[in-house]
Amino acid sequence: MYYICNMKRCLLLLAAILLFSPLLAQEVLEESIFSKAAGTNSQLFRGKVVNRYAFRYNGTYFWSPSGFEKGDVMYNGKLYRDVSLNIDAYVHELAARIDETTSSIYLDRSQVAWFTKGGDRFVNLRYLGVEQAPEGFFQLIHDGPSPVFLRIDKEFQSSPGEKDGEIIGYHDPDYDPDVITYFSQLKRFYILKDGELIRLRRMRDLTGLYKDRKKEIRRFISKNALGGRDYPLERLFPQIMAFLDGDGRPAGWFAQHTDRWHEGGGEGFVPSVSGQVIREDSQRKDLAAGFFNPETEEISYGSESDQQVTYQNKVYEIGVPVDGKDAPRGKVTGRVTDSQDGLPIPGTVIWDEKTSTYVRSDKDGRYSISLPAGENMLHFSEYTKEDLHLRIIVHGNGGLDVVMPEKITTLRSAIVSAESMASHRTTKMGLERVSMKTISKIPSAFGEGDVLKAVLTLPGVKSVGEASSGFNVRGGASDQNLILFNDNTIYNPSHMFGIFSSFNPDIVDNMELYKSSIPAEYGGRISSVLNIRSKEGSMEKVKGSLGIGLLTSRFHLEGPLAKGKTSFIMGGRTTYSDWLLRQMPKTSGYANGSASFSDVNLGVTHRFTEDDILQASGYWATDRFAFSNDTTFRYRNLNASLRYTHKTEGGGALTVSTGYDHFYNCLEDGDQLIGYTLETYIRQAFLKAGWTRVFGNHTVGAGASAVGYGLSGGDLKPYVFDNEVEDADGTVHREKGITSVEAASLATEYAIEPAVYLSDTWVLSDVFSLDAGIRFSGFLTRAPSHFYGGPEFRLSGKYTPVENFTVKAGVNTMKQYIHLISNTSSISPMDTWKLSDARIRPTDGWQGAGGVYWTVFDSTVDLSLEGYWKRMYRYLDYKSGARLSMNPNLADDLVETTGKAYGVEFMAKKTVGRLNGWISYSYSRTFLREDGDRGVAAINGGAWYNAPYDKPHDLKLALNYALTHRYSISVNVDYSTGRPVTVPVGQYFYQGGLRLAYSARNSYRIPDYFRLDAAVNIDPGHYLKALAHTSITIGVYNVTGRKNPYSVYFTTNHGNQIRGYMLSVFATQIPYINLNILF
Amino acid sequence: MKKYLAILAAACSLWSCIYPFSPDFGDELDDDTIVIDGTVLIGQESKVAVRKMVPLTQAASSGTTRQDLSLEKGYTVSVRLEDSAGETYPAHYDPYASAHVINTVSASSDRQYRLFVEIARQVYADGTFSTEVRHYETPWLDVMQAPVIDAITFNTDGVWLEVRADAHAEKEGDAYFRFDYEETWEFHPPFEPEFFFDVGSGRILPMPEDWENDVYNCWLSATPREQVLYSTRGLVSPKAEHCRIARFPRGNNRCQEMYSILLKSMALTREAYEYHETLYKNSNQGGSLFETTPSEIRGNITCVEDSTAIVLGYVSATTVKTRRAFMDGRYYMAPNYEFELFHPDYTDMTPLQYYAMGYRPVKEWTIVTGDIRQTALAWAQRRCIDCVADGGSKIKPAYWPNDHR
Repeated sequence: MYYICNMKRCLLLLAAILLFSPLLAQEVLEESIFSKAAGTNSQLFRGKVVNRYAFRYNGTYFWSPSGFEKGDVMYNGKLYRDVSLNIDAYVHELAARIDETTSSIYLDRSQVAWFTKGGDRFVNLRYLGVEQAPEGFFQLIHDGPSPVFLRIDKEFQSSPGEKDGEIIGYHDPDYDPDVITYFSQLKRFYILKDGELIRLRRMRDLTGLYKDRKKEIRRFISKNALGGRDYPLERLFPQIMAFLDGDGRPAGWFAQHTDRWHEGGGEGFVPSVSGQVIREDSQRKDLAAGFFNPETEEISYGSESDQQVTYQNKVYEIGVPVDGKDAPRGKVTGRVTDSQDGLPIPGTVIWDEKTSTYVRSDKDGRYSISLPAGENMLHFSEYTKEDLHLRIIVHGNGGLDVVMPEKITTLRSAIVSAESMASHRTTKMGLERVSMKTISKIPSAFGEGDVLKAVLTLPGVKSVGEASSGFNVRGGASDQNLILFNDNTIYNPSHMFGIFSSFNPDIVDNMELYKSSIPAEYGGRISSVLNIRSKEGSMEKVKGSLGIGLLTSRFHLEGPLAKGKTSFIMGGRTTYSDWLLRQMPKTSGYANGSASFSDVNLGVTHRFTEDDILQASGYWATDRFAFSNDTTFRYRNLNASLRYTHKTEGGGALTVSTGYDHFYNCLEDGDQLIGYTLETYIRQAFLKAGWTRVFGNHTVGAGASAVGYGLSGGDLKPYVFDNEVEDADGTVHREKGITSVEAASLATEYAIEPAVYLSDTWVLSDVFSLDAGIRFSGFLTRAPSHFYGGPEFRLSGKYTPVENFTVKAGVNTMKQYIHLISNTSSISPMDTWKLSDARIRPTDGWQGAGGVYWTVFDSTVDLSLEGYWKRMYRYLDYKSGARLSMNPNLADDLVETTGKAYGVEFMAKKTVGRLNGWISYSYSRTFLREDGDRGVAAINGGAWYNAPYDKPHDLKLALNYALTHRYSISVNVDYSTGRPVTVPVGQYFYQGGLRLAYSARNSYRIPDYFRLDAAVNIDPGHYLKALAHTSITIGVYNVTGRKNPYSVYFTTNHGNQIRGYMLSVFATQIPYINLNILF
Repeated sequence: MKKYLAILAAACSLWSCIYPFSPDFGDELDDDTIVIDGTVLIGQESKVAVRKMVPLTQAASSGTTRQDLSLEKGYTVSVRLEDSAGETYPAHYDPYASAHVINTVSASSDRQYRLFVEIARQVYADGTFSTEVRHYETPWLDVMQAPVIDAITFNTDGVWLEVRADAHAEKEGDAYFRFDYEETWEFHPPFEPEFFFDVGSGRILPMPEDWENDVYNCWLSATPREQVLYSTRGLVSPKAEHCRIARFPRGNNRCQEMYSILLKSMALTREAYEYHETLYKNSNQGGSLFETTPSEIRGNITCVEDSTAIVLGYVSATTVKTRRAFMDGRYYMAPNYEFELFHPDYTDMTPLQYYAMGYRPVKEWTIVTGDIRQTALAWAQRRCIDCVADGGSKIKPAYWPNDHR
């Protein structure tokens, strides 16, 4: 095992990077295999199969700890004998090497039929015609008419594992409990019976296949005292099968299936890496004379290929000793070509290990390097190809032509830090990806792993206050964020006025927030896109979890409907917070209040084949809260979507999705005289199709979408009451009727928003790539008919001059056709949504951003610095004294404003190791100014004013420290400048009482906001035998108990005297405890 | 609708808190911010007051800062009203009303009216005094017709006693009402004394047989600090049905003996209504999370010299309809005043000292404390037997329907 980061090496690394030496990057890159983003952008980067994992871990990724052992391998139709082999069970590749000192290489799995290793036999079932078998190797533990196989897979885990525990599966003499990564082992048994590969989990599965012989088997077991809880299945199965086969020793499966290959074809062949069979009829060590063209001092770039090299386990001799003596130095010249098409590869680095000199191949792939005589190790490395390491002995000048093999993409990615290094890989800027695992570690009020709280810890994302249900990205308003959950649009992303998010954390798989560089496939909002995807249900077994907290409870259940093909996942949450509200003092007015919500998720995934997937998803949520006896708010979300994905060859995909969203609001005022119910809703149906394809260096995407809207601005009905009333004299009578409010309703607005897009990610070279997209979006309203539309441009570029250092820049334009009109400080569910129409124009915006990204300390820490400048046009703000509800001429009470926003964000993120998390600081401003000229009536007289979410300084810290593999501590710090408010500047006596005169809009700030949260997470113990794992989170929200003001307000108490008050939502420490049960 | 706008209850959670907050926003005040407070009442006298806005922190707790410019040194204020027929109505300053009074009793409601205010200010600069004159004017105001008050009703829900009114506008369409009122009520103190303290002899003597309690019946008046606004927009018909005018607890001495309310109804334009509604909302924030944020509002008065200057106030022209209603004491629920009676400790202070402190003897009373039952002469604060000491006035309104004195 390698441990790379000791001080000397770290300094060396730093020096090397500074010298622009990409060669040392090889060491650094070894860590990065576990730092890749989950593979949707596999075209933008290629995984590198390495043979050394240069960080600390417990356990081993090999099949067994026994290391390399000699064996035979049937490779590409030829049998090679006596090869040192080892199986990397993490990626399921077969590694081979010459001797202890050479590096090992992976054989091309698709050419490996079977091999033996240390006496055990392994087969590649796929290669041998068993189509249903997973890719990879299987150990043949019983050979008979129905062979039995053992399959071991290693999985990367970010905990220390257990020294002798079953998790690792073997005794690890180097076990170090301080190291919190290990490879866990997964054992699976299969039997190939009647052409079908059947999984065997336990003895019962085997006896189930031989029902008629069950009794015999039982007798055999008891007679020989086999079985029992600890009896290893890898011994039990072969014994039983041998018994079943009887003494006749029928012909084995292996011999039958492998008889078409035969031994022979020479000796001493060493497998080639790229799959080309190299016939070499000489022995390994001695080269026949005349094999090389004798070289003189002259460098010859001639076509005489001295040696065409594709394989590594051979020693190449350069030059010929003259008179038995080597020249002091020799020049190695040659040409580097691609194994696939034979074309030359320029820019290949050829590096000599002994002298640390290096050269690069020129545009014709030619190189020339001068080396001292003797043994040397020559490395050939090129970004898009597999590295080659060749042993050479330099006798004098000579030639060496090299064929570089293709890189093998690895399909797996590590659980830990799927987010690190993502910034180097993609051209996209301002993209934040957070996995659910990270989300669950961030402490939040009431202890739920909350998607929205996680979003709020990212730089550039702010909220107006704790009870606000929206969030603001880079100076944009709340309605400028497109929130997608499995392609459905979510209009209200939180429950209970911002305390809980609408997304059940057990259902969420990951989320992506695009702050800038929004891909061309998304549109309709000008500030950001938050894309949340739910998990696919497990295809293997049924599992679930149950969470119990102080205010809410949730559960989820997932499992297969048809194993390996169809799975389902469902989840639900509900609150029981009414009891808490009843504890409140009567005078607060909330004692009779109630607030509750519940939601349900359901998802079904069906895989027709590995490349064809159909996913259905549904979500239903309901909220209700009432704080005075009279007024009740109710709202509901209903979303359903269907998505079909077809993966095409070459890494492309075709996706078609369709769905329906329904967001419904109801306000009920129960006043007996002028009470009413006011209902609004938004209905939306969409159809999207997208297609991506790789053409050489280009990843092209194109698609179209159409969204249809039906938005009801309000349906007002008088309140119908029916209650018992007690008079002053004690008599009781029943009162029924309706109030005197006149029923009214605003016409439903209909519109359709079509769009088409075209995008291309172009990898110009290994250091520069470009992302360009164009989107045409339109908006057509009905009655009166009006059309808006236009192109939107997305352009970004990435430049990686050195490994781990990237510069990006980009420009985006966006259009938004639906608006949220609000005149309250917090986004309330009763705020009005409005579609653009003949009088209300769409909002446009553009954003320019640039950033620098640097990964340091052995790829453990990502640093990023991003700056942006934004302009918004025709953003709707309300006039003073506007009436926003049930206003048929809403446009009269709105004004168009221009907004400008700019900012700088700095973030340092560490995703591996005991301590992980991020710290970010941003400085940003947002201003608005009314367009047009209303003279003195204009907001602030037409001058720029602070937007309600303008908070210049913002410092965030989200850290998680793993004390042991079970206990971890999370800390969250949030500091920001107070938000702007409009406050009174004077008082005056008017019409009998005192009144307040107000300042210009948003010209003052409330005191700063600071909050510290801490939590202890206790993860389940690794007791596989336990039926259910429990984990507990205990934490405190707002540890310092700071009374962060949400707003300040003043009242004259109906003209009498002026009092000022400060409102805090969470004004004290809030401890919480959450219990999660996984089963 | 009004209810919706007025009550959006704060959606705070269990741990939210409201703390007192002293404004510290600095006193950026425009010296020129003028308040013009008046309504052109056709058929009655109109009163227009001219004031100045003062800093928030100034006498914040007293609440009666009036800053009447007409009384301010260095300022000369003159007010006049003009109608569309060219007639001018001058105003004379009434120091008791702290306002300029205009005689619009016989003004016609068919004309339009316009208010002019001239403020001359003496400025001292560069060693000399100079006068800076500013003129303020309103646009032409239409006279709005006041709604007819159909009924004034009194009812109780057990705890509160509410005065409600029914009114209707004579024209079709949305109507905006403003109700102002004057309350007058008669009350009496909770106890009638049976004894009195004779200062001359220093003794407590029983009240003589023929003593007439001349501090038993008193009257009080009050006007509200906020008028009641009502809008019929969105309602089935342009009527105010059971519009709540005032309310007070049933233990309040308003409803003890007799209560009278003089309800004045006026009509507003839509802009005037929205101005006042926003003004009240801005001045009575409840701190709810879903409350509309306060915003500046522009009145209809402009300064001729500086059209961008902010002038506070909105002047309307309207007729006035009044109606008076009386209510007797049927809903009165007397609070328990018995706790006011106490047995003085004469070893502690002499009766004279109690008298000097403002207490008066009342009657013999039994006070039970724990197991001890004591019957002796009880005293109470003076206001418990003397309605004038309790703030009342012995001046009985002319319209009072009973013969109490």
